[in-house]
Amino acid sequence: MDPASSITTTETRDHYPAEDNWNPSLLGHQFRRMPVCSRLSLADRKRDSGEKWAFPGWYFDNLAFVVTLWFDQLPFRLQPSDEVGWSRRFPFRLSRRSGMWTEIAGIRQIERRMECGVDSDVLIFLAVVFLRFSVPLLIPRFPLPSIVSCLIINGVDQIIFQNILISISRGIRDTTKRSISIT
Amino acid sequence: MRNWQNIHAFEVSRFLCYYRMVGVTLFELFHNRTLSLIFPNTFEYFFIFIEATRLRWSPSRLSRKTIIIAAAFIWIVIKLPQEYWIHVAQHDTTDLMKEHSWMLPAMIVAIVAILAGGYWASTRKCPPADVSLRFDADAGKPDLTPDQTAGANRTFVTCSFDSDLLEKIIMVSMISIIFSNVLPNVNSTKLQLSTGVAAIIIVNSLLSVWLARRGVGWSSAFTQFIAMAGSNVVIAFGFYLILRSGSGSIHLGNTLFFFLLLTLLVTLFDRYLPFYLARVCVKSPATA
Repeated sequence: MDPASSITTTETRDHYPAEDNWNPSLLGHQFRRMPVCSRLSLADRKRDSGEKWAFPGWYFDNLAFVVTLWFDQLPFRLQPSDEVGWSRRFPFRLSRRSGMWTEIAGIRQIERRMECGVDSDVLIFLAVVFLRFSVPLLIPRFPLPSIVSCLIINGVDQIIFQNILISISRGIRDTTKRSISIT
Repeated sequence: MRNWQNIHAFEVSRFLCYYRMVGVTLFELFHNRTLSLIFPNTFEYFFIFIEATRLRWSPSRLSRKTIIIAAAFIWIVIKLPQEYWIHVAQHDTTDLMKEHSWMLPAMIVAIVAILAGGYWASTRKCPPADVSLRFDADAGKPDLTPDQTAGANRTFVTCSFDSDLLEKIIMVSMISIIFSNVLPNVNSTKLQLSTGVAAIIIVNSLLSVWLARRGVGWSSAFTQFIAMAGSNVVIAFGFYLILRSGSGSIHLGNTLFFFLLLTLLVTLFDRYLPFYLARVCVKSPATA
């Protein structure tokens, strides 16, 4: 085996932990430590599961992650606390996040997203799923615009999903190469 | 059922919808692509035709003969070639557009030409418009009086356990079978699924009629959906406990998905069936 390729593979897997580590309940500080891409490697999840669409668990997992992205925008964070007293009943403490103002401006989030380039794809995916659920509900009130919209969404969603999965996998590869070259 | 005033159009669309649903169910059972050609999705384009007509004219003006000719035209001229192209020949329009760069501009030109032709025909060749252009289905004057709707509600309460109940069970069973082939981790057989659906719909119908006989009404379809969803979640939890106490198992995510799908369909069916019954009563009081 080529030693160079084995090193590359190991570094890739180390930098982006296996999908077994995925747990949407890991909100807050523990969850935030994980690299963005590892939480969003939809292409890997699709490939590993062997299913075309791991729905609805796949959808809800990513919905949970997008909620945590919004949670990240808050200038404060909730951290586990081992202090005694009133906090026993509520063992968390509210602490100010470092670089609060850059967090408020969303600059760090934007930096992280640009680094990986996958978050917007997940949002597009969720937007398409949301439209597929919500637009048919408008048919009773606005029949013609809604049914034509449904036809269009039905026609383009597969193309969008294919492109998203390709861009996500490409984003993971690009970021992996960049991080390896830095190290 | 809610607002189509032309009973013939509704009957034809209902037939087309169930016909397609039977085809998709058979396809999911036997995986034979020719079934898509035999059972084409004429319903969708027929629905568009009626709604496009309603933008400028009252659909009540359409005669039974016109409606059947329109459905036959959509079936034979539009849908059969399209179904053959997609499901039998299995051509992908996206791939063809990548191979031939002229296809996308040609399609845009064709769509613009069809829209322009439609506008020209509707303004110059068709009869004068009955109403101004409108997209809101509730913008016009309702064809039913409150008394007629109330009478239909009474009819629904007294005779909703015959063909309507059977129709609901068949419709939801077919949709559940179709979705069971899409969702992962569905281990039940088609017969088990259909039996479960039938049992839940009967329970739902008993509950609806029981509430209606006690004068409980719902201000909107949404509140009715929430109330029915709440009762169905309780039923789902009951199933969960029963199966868990024995050797059975249940996939909670899929169960909730099926229950919400069933609730949505049954709620809309039960809510708007009285409107259809009222129209039938108005059009043909002797038979009603």
